[in-house]
Amino acid sequence: MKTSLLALGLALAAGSAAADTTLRVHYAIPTIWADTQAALAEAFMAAHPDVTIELDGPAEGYAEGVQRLLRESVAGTAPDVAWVGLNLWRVLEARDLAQPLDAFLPEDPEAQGYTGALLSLGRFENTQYALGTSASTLVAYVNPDLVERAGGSMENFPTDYDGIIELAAKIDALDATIEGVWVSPHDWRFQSFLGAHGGRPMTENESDITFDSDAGVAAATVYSRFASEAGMSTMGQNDARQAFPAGTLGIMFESSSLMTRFAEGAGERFDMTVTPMPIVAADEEVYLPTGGSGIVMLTDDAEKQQAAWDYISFVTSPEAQKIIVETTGYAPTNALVVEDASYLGDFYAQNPNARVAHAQVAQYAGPWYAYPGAEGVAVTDVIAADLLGVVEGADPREAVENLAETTRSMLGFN
Amino acid sequence: MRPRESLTSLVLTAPATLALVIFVFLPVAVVFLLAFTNYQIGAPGLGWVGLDNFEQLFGSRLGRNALLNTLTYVAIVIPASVGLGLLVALGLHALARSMPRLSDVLKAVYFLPVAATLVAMAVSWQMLLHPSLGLINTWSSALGLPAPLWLSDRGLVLYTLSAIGIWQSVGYNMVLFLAGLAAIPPALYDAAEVDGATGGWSRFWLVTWPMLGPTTLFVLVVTAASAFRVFETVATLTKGGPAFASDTIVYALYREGFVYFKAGYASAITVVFFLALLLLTALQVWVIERKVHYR
Amino acid sequence: MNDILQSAPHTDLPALSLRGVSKRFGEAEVVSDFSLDLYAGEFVALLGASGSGKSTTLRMLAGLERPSSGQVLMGGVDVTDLRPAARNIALMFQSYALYPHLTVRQNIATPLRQALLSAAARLPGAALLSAKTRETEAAINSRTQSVAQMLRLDGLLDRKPGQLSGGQQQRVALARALVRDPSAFLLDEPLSNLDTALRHTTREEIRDLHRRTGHAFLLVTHDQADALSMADRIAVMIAGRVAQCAPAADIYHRPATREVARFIGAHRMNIFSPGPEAASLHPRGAQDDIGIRPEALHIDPKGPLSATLQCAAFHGEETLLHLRSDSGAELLAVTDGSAPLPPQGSKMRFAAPAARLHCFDAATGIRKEIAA
Repeated sequence: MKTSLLALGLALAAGSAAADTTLRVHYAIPTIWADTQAALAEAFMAAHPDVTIELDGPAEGYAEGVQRLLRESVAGTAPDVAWVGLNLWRVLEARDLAQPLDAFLPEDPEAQGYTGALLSLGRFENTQYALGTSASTLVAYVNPDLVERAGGSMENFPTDYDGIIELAAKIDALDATIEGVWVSPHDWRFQSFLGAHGGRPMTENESDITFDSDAGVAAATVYSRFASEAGMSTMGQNDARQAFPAGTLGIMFESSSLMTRFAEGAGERFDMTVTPMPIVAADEEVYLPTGGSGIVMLTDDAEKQQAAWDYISFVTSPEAQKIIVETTGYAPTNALVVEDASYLGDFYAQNPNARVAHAQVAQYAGPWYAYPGAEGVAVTDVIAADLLGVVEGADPREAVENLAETTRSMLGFN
Repeated sequence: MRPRESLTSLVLTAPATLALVIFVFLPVAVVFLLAFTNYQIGAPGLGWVGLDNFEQLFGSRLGRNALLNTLTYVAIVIPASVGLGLLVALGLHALARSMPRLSDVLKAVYFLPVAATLVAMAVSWQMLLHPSLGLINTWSSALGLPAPLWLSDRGLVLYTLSAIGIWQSVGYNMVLFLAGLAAIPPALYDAAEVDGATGGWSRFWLVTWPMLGPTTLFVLVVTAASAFRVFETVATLTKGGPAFASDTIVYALYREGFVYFKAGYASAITVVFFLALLLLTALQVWVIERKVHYR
Repeated sequence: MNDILQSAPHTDLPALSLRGVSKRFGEAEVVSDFSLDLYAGEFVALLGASGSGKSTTLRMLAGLERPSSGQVLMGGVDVTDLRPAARNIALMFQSYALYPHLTVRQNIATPLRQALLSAAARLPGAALLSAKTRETEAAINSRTQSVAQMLRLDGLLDRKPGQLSGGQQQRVALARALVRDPSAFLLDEPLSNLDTALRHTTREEIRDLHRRTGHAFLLVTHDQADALSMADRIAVMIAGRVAQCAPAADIYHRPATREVARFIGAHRMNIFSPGPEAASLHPRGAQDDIGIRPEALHIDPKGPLSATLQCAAFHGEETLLHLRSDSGAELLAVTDGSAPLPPQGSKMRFAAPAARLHCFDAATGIRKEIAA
């Protein structure tokens, strides 16, 4: 606050140096983001005294946030810049609300820390609509106590699915109330297993479903074997997110964004440990769909667009990314901040779990495929329903093939 | 009425009428129109699709599933909630004579779920019903009983939600029945006693049950309306899952409109739901006028 | 037509009696040491102001309330512990208490159905299954029919009570009470919900009903006109006790206590406390209360009683005079409506025939007979 007052004073002293611009910024999930957003706005305004950042009242979640943006755009009161879920910016793009950013991107994005993998998070049909601002991928959370009770150790923690299933089965056998492994039957988790096996959900031009490949069957088989061999239950996501910190679940595949929450939940009970996703395919074929947030430009006013870009490039810069990582627990979306130890070296030394997750993002980040068209979101629920069928005992190949057919017909691919 | 008076009346009613038109009738009309389009929230255009949306609701697997789930839920909750509400009211009404204090305390206990915020209560239910940590399964395991996945077994989830729905509405129905019982003229019970209806059962059939007729009908309609509208428990506890096993009509409405952004289809669901509730209300008015008030 | 209504054979024992009955609700004693005999064929009125305990007495007779002490006898048999239906006492409620969901026919038949049919046989359709049930139903129906006919309800049998007038509802309540051929018939304020014109005809009807059925009737009322016009004997109830039980004329002409004297009569009796004024009316007035009914006072310039006219209320055939006696007591007098009256504030003198003076013990309020 002090700095912004100072900035205001400086701006006044400078007289009419530049026309003052006010940017309205939308964000969601205040429980994670409120403090971070205030800190970012303050830092930005200190560097750009001619721009005032005005934060809209935050939306409760990303989905509610997008609903609000759509309503506001209908009413003509949309904000200038919006932080949205990485799986939801396509909704804005499909309605021509997100402005292309290519004209603003620097000549050599790589040099600024915008690697190809990171740019892919906000890219569609060779146009950049969003830039990632925070990232998360699927990781494995492990309860080392249960691993040891089951005769394993963290030093020899398995790095392939066979090993994990074997270990999980042993943990599951410990006690009636203890579960070995759990992962949600959910589109994003499925895409993660798919990517780890080198598969893709859709063709490049999004004209056909491709998850009925061998990689897709293998991804579904992970679910099937977790259930049949390691006794994975069909308990709901909320139940599992309570069970793991309570110490009754051995291994849980979940978003890396939950790291802080799980660490706090586990507390002194056990030393929660994060391990990377087991990768099956060759590195160049692998990608992990990335959750988190991206930022889009909504204003079509040329003058505001420049200020908006200044803000966007600031929040994706190493300085801002350092703030985001330290205050939210998300992985950064600027390569420089990970590579240059001067930014986060101390942080990683204190948070080895974060380093595992962030390294995974830097290495394998890829877009979280959003299915196109009116039924795009509906499809993800159908995928989740059929994955539950696999967990309950359906044949993985058959299920995946049927699911692909259902999906094609819902999306109008045939 | 003289013209001056009519003018005054018009001026006096105008703001309310205007507000009603703008905030109620107009939106309803828009929803009815949207129901015949493929409009998506935020989309630049929309197309006329006739009855496609209604066909999808009644013809698609998901649409029929939501309708069937809702009907199942309603079929369980209405009789159970009304029946239990009546039983509890009869018990507490009788108890009020011998132990008024205890009766009052129990009334408050039964009414608590009605007064409590459902979303907050849902969190408690989730903790109670947790498959391994929850109190219910901890106890049932200790007794050697199975520990089911109350909210994530697709064969069970709808019944769990029904039980919560019953728990939540029994207290309200109890209060309505208590009011109904208090309104029965004591002379009728005396008359029944003199006429030889001395047993509890004959008294119930001769006096209590017929005299509760209007109350019962009202309770039925209120319970039906709230059961058809079931949403909060679904949204907070299961999100319609697992695999749409607890997807109900109002949750589907929310899902299609606000998660999938399919405003046209969601409007069609709204229209069907609106008409169903309208029918229910009309039925109530009709039956009450004809039958239950013994006119 | 009345053959079905023949009552139980007369015996010397009272059909219904209360023996030293008291009723306490918590601390309050509502009925105290109450005794009353009701013989077959007799029509007794229990007259009292509201709160005098008459309704509680009625409920104890009917069996709806248990006495705290004392006995209820029927034909000499102790029925104190029997429930109402077992006593075979009919009770007509002030509110009529008709079952609103049942037709007139069903209302009247209810006592018979409860008594003659088992719970299972009362279920709808039971008659289709059992010949015996059918037979009983037929008997009940014919009995219902004949009682309804007697009370001129035959055309209304399929209506609901809500569709009837107050008078019709009252007759349905009577019919329901009579249908079982009760040994005694209790009526709780039967006329209080009727308008004036209907009251007169209904009084006649109830008397007629009493005559035809020959049952013992007990009427509970707060309205002395009802009691005086219908009952053979009146029990005046004051503060939970019977103050006097006697034929109507006796109650009016020879009230047993000062309270009864004040309670009975269209206009409140004038009571003079012992003193020169009372003594001027009758020598006993020196130490006793002297009472004169307003209708016994007549204007007489030479009369012993001097009073100032406060106001005069004209009621058509009579005029009610509100007076203040010279000693400061408020007095009422009734004169012929056509008599000329002096202006307000005038002094007037009154006299009363010695035969119409009442004398009460100043301390106990008990009547003392005085020579005419």
